[in-house]
Amino acid sequence: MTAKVDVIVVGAGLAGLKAATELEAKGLSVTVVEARDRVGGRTKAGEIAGEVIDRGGQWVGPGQNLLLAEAARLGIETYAQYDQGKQVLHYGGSHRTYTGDIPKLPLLALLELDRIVKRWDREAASLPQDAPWSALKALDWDAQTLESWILRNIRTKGARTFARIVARAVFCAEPQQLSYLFFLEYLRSGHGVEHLIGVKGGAQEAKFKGGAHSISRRLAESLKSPVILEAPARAIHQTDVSVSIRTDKGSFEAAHAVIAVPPALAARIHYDAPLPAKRDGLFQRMPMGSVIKVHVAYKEPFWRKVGFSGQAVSDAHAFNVVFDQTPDDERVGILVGFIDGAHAIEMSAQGDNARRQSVIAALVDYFGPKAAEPIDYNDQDWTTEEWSRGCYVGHMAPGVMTLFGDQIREPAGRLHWAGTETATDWTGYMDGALQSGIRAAGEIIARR
Amino acid sequence: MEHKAEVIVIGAGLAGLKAAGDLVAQGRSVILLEAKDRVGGRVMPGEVGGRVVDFGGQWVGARHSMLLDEAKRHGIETYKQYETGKTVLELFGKLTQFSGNIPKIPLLSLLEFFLLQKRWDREMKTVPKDAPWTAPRAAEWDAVTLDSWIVKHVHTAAARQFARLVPRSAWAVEARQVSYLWFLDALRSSDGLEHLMAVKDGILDAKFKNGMHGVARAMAAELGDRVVLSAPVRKIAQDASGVRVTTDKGKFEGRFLIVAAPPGPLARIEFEPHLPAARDGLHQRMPMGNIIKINIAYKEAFWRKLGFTGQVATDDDMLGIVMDDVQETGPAILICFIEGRRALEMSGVSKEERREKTIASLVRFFGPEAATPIDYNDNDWSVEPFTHGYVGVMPPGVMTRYGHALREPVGRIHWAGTETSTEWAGYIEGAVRSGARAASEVLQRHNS
Repeated sequence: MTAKVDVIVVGAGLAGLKAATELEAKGLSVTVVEARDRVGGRTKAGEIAGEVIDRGGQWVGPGQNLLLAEAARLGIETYAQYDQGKQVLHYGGSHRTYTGDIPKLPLLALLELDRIVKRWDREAASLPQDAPWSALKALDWDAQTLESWILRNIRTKGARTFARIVARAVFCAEPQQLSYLFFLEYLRSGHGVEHLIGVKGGAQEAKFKGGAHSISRRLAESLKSPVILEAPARAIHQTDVSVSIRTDKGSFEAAHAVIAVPPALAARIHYDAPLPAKRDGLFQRMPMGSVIKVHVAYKEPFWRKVGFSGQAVSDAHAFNVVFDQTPDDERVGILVGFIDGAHAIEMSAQGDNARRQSVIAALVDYFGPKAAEPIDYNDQDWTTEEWSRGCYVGHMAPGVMTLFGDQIREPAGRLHWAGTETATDWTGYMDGALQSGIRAAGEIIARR
Repeated sequence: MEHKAEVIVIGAGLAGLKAAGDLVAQGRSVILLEAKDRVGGRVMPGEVGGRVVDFGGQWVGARHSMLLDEAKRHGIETYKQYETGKTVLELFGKLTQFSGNIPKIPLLSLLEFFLLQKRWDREMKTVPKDAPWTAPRAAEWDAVTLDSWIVKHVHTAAARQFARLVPRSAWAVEARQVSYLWFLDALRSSDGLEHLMAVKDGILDAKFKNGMHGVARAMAAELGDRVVLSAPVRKIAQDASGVRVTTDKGKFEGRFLIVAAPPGPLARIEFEPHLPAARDGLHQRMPMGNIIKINIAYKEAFWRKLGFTGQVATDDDMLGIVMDDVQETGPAILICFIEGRRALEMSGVSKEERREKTIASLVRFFGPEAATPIDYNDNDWSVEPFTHGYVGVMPPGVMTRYGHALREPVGRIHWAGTETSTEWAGYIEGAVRSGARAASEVLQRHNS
């Protein structure tokens, strides 16, 4: 059975759903196929202690205008990330607390950090928005890892540690695995380090009532033809006039297709004719970060009462970035956080119990003995999620941006590429996913 | 249609053929599944100027004992790589000719390259062959690219350029694409740089009469109808009792499974249950190098008459390495390789344009007689279905985080393929050895 439409969209995450929405608005017939039994991709609904939570993408910050507008259009409200009180910084074996955005590091480290952050922002700003591979120093920056750069350009231990924590927290990858050019490009698209890692005025400023995953659900509900679930795309065959896609739920034929899944997943589809060498090479070279997102519920937000914001950062524990996720009425207290990078690979292998014990031990270290008595626990191991194979986002090792990067948005015949990895603004974020969907839809509309 | 055997082997390259052969020799029932319509994998027959040639792997090194044994068993003879006369070296647009092993580059550079080779020899010996990730300096060496290492430690322009030729000609990648630790391990696995570059008694010592693919065909012939062609694997499921493999040619069941395919292309297969995070992460992080192999035929070996070996090493914008290939009968052939960055660029142009450019380069090296070949053909491995490139390599941060998963069985799944070999990884010999190792792992389990 082959159904015919104008456009097939592969992937019902925010990018694919937005592309489909835009295409339908122009009067085109669209079929969205999705491998999972749900929409939302890297956003995912969950539940802990009776509260709805996000097991995937969650935060929104100022400047993420596409995402804010989309939520507003769908009637989904935001609320601020709780940010009052002391933050915990676990660093070099000691435990410090601080208020505001500036961690308590030795003065020299702080001074250096300030200089480094300004330098990153300056270098990031020098990258051409649509073509970082053509930057003046692209070759030099893409030939080295972020770790090489850190070792050569940062002297104090505190600033080095901070830089490595940034890499881990933002990419869920180790600084050894990242090209310095790719790192800069990500900073550029994320409006600078402070914006990326900040709460107030930053990318963690607010969350969505009812969960970020509800944006995808609403988008899917408002499509004219329903998303076809549990239909992983296996093979794509294109001719001069059409594209046909074979899925587990039958084959579909269209004039064009939008492939709105991360490169590491797009790599798994069989393409006939074979993709160009550079596009295929890119697919082999954008591995996903590694992360486990954890929620822990308590009878009450006990940390708030003793003056903690619930935020913690650590260079020792596997569960190393934590935020408060308590509902407004404080019916229960919830903490949310991440095990990322190499820690995620290790903790994924250790199994549920060991993971939970390690998380609770970290929380006791951060917030005291009361953390030892949770009433509920929930974690989401994105590294073993078949149709994500990691999170948050695909990253680039050295040599990828300059050799393969120019393919990232380049259509291959009738195939157009979407997904947050292809965005030029807020790459890796939900906002970037929306931008990519709009762009891919626009490319197809312009061709017709 | 369901088929059963004690052991299912995936991939009829040399690794899979050897594994299947060893198992059959021990009385086990085996089915060997192959995605392509031919056996051999990265060993592949072609035809140029009426002569049968190797489009893929071709040379056999003096120490490649298992491959030599295998060929001998099937009565396949070798012939020595010709190396009488002058070799051409082109660096920075400057052509020089030299006899013997010492290239004509500035004395300081030569001295530096000599010292560099000593240093690499020393450092590679500290890398344990079964576990390179445990080398004393593994963390430091895996944090940087080979290019970063070269920039830091090599100072003369010619030595740097020469150093960058090594990863390109040996693994078809640029120095910026690979980890220094991976590079040292790859050198160790090749018995060092001197051996790696050597013709007589080295890795390029000899070739097989009528082609390397003759060895693959002979091994496959022994297996008879146990080999199933055109059966790409889509899904691998395992539980306590066995494995089930879903292919385009039906389902296959076994007690154990040997997967003998490069890690990158393996990422396309769906596994149930999901692979451990480290193994899946490895599949996302071992991209294949990029190479185009050219066979260009002439009426006679005019270069020999002019006193040339036919060998060229160049940093020009087209070719990397050129080698002589003349057999008792048939036309004289020059084999040329386009590697790394150049292979990506040349993959995008027509075969006709590649032919013109190859001829232009060869005229520069060997004079006007190179302008009139009687035939030309090439194989672009980057777009070869189910192979997607040359050999899997590791960027920084992969060996130390994911390397341990390379040979570690996952339940009933054992891993083969030249990338998994502790010796001669990346060569046909490594493939054969990996097949023997995987077969013995399975036999041990079977017998216990």
